[in-house]
Amino acid sequence: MTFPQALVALTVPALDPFIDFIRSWPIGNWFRNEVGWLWPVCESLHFIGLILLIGAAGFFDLRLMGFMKGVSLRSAKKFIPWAMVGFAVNLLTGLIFFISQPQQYATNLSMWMKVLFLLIAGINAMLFETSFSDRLLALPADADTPLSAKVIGAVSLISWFAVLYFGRMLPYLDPNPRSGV
Amino acid sequence: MMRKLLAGLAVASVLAVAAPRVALAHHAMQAEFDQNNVVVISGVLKKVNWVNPHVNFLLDVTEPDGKVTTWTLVHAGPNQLRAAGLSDRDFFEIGKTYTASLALARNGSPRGYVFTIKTPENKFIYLTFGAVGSDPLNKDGKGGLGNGHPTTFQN
Repeated sequence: MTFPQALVALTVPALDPFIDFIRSWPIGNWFRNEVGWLWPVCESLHFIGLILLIGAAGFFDLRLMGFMKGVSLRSAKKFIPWAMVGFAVNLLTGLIFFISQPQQYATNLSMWMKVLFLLIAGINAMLFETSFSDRLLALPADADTPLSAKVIGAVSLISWFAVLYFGRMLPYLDPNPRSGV
Repeated sequence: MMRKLLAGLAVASVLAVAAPRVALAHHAMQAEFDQNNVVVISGVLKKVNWVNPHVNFLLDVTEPDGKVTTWTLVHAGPNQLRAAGLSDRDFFEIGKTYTASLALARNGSPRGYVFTIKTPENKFIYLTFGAVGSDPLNKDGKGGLGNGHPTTFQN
């Protein structure tokens, strides 16, 4: 038995009641059967959201890593609210996908990799806010960033692209595809 | 400058109109499936997954050596198929034998992007407008989705 197969054998039966529970919600049934336009609209919004998120947060990450020194960290951070808008849009649309078709995600290895990197990105951002933000934002334009800032920027950038990658790979990296109803 | 821009636009629009109609219109279909590698298979319909983001049909195909392989035939989302007048209940019956032309998956798995489906009543459901001649079940390039024509059914 390969590792993915073993993981499937372990996780799939355990998650089936959870999938059934989500599928029993009337709102999921409404998403699936009553509002046919909802999924394609959410897909488009999810893409716009990820552009906002990675575009805005990615710029700040690059500045943390020491690129584009002409822009002060304080100015670069002014884009971050747009990243938060993107994240909110994607959380909402992502929940709609999950509630509509939980069986496509709950037992999907790619989904859990996506969640793992979401957590890493989140913890990394929290670490920045709580321990590094004040000191780094006081740096003037043209100042290089310390190694800690470069690491935080790189972890953030890599994590968000990993979130994007595993999201796109949802249909392809699933050892036990179950798209069916 | 303006004239150059206009000339460029004119060339671009001519190219856009004259470009061959792409059969695999949706996002990464051309990356996953090879539309130059089209085959026809027959099998027993096992399941219709009328789900987002892509409707798929499971077809049990018996190979010459007796081995049964379940093929996954992928197409557009349910909304698009519904708009073309199709429904999972009215056109597809589990346990009946269907024939389909499909662009094979590039990774060699038993998957394909379905072009045309022939029902047990010998009705043809043209799902995709391919280049004329590239679909063995639709040599004339009839109807189909993606070019503004309704899906056509023909005996």
